Amino acid sequence: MMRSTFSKVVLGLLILPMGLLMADPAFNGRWRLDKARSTALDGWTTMDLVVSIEAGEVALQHDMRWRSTRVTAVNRVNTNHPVEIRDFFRIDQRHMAVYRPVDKVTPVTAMWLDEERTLRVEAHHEVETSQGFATMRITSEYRLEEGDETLTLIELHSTRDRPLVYVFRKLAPDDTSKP
Amino acid sequence: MRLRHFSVIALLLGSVACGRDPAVAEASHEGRQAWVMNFDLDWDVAGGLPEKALLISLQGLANREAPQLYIVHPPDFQWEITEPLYEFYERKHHVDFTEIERADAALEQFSSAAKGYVVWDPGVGASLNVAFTIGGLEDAVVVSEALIPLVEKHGLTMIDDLRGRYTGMSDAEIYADSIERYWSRCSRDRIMLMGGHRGRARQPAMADWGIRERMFFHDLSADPDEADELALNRSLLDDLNPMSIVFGWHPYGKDTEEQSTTLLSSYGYKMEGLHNLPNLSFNCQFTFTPGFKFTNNHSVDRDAVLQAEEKVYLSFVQSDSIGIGVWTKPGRGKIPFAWQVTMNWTEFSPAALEYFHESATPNDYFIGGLSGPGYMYPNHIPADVFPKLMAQAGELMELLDERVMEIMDNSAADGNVGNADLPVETVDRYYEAFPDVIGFINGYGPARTRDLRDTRPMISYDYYIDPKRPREEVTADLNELIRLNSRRPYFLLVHVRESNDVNSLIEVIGNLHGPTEVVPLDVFLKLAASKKTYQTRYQQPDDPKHFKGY
Repeated sequence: MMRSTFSKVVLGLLILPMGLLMADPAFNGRWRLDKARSTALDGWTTMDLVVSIEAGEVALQHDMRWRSTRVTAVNRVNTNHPVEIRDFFRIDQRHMAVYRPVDKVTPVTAMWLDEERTLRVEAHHEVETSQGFATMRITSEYRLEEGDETLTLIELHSTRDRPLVYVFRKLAPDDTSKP
Repeated sequence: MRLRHFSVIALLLGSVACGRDPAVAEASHEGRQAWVMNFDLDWDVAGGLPEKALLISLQGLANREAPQLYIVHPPDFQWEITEPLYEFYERKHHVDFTEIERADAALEQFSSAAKGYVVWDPGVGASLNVAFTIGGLEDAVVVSEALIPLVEKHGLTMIDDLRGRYTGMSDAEIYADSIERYWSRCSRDRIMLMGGHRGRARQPAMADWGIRERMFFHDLSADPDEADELALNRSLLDDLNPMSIVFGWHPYGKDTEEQSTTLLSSYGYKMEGLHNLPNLSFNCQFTFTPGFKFTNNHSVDRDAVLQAEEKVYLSFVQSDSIGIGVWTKPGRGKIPFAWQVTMNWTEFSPAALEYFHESATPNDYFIGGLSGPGYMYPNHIPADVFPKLMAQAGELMELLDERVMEIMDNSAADGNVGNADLPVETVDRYYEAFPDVIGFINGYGPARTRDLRDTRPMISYDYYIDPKRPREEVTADLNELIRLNSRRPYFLLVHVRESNDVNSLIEVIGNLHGPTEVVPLDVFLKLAASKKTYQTRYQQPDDPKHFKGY
């Protein structure tokens, strides 16, 4: 029992800083969608992605705009362990009758890849359709491009033939503009 | 028998409502002389607007007693049918048009219809609407300062001058003054919400109609944040007679379509737009041609029973008043399409409806809408007015040989996204009001109100095709819906927004997965009645609402 506790402590000490060490700090910050190089949004005018990494937790904040409407939603994933996210946000194609159900949680796993320059997030997201409920497996890779000024998000759906590719440009730290 | 009986009544009602002499309308079938002008697309306040405002006001006066002046707009104008309709008048009503090229010649021909002129101030936007109101009441053409010499050359004298009267005043202050001065003399059955484009360019192409009918013009906001304007707006609506019609369109940038239509619907008034819908003062004076009867392209009998197979059924619908900007585009007729008809054009533009029916292909199917005998949001129509309005809609649908009612309530939506659903109370009212339809469709953007009672399904749009969305993404979207809705049959109702290219849709259809079939809307609804694979759902109290209402 004592040995087991000691092992957990050692393991924890190893893992905890790993979350911090394994994240490339260049991910942090506000990224603005480059619409010309991205898959066309549908029902959104534009968006920013704000990434903040703290230990193993990665906060992916979506600042969305549709005409004069602004929506902010954060998915907090963790590269150390799976999480369940209530009101999981996906960049939805809003002209499809696919809705986020009320009071459902979405299981989400996350991990660092490619020498910590890629964050992979996998979500099993339940959605409401005209026939009831269905599960959409969403695999998202956030790839930090060379030079750290471009972030590419490639999103695959288990239900969609084509990937959704969103290219973001990093904003200067003192740029407080909203999309 | 009932149809014929109603047709006669409708035509007579149309004659009365339009103020046309039935004898004149009858004579039109034997040919008449009229004049036509061709407009360009320059509606800039600093460019072509002043002259167009003059000509449109002249049109309203010239067409008071008889249809004399018609305006053809370029194919790129939002209402692209003005030229085909012009040809229709020549061909079917034997109108012998003489072209007038310049404003000077138009005044030469029609200045006797005016008693004078009123001067508006291009620096004060609302003054144009005040001038239009005066124009209707005083039989005056509307001019900017620069055009005074032109109208005086034709013997017209100044009746009123708005230059300086409203300088520095807010729109609320200007319209408060206008109400005080003119409202008591204006129509109480119809009003002109002359909004739409604002600022650098404006398109008041519907002003001829408002002037002819002596309506009050305004562009007051329906936004609760614009309390002064909303209060004035309400004071006007409070004064209108029951079942009135609000012509025009909401003012862009001041409020939203959702707010404006919600407000009007809460009074049980019908909306008839847009602000740039031209030639109503001319169109209203023609009846249907002798012997004409609406015959829709039904693909199934009203009482037919069909059985759905294990496949995906798609059906395409164009709303927006027979798809503003689409009817004359290439590709129509290649696949089945349902077209939402603005039903009260039976009263204001019979020839336009006859033109649409005459030029329909076997794949074009007409449906009633939008929500009733005009554009309305049913969730906000007072319960005691709802049956009267829908009885009117039912009669118009019978006249137009339509069996499907399209419903749209965007009061809680955010443009073409968001909540476009109906609570169960509204659904109940429709089922009670329309026992003879074969079904209902709902939404504008996607929606999730669905039901099936006896043989009448209510199906909402599962997809809205944004005309700017790349076709490969449209294909991917539709294929994703097909995957997510894995039970067969799957009924996939698609709203095709105005200006979508039909040919590109054919390519999309060819790239869909699985056994799919595009069917006419009446077939689609019959099949949807045979096997209910969709979930019954109504708007829920906790569904998100963008505009909470008043």
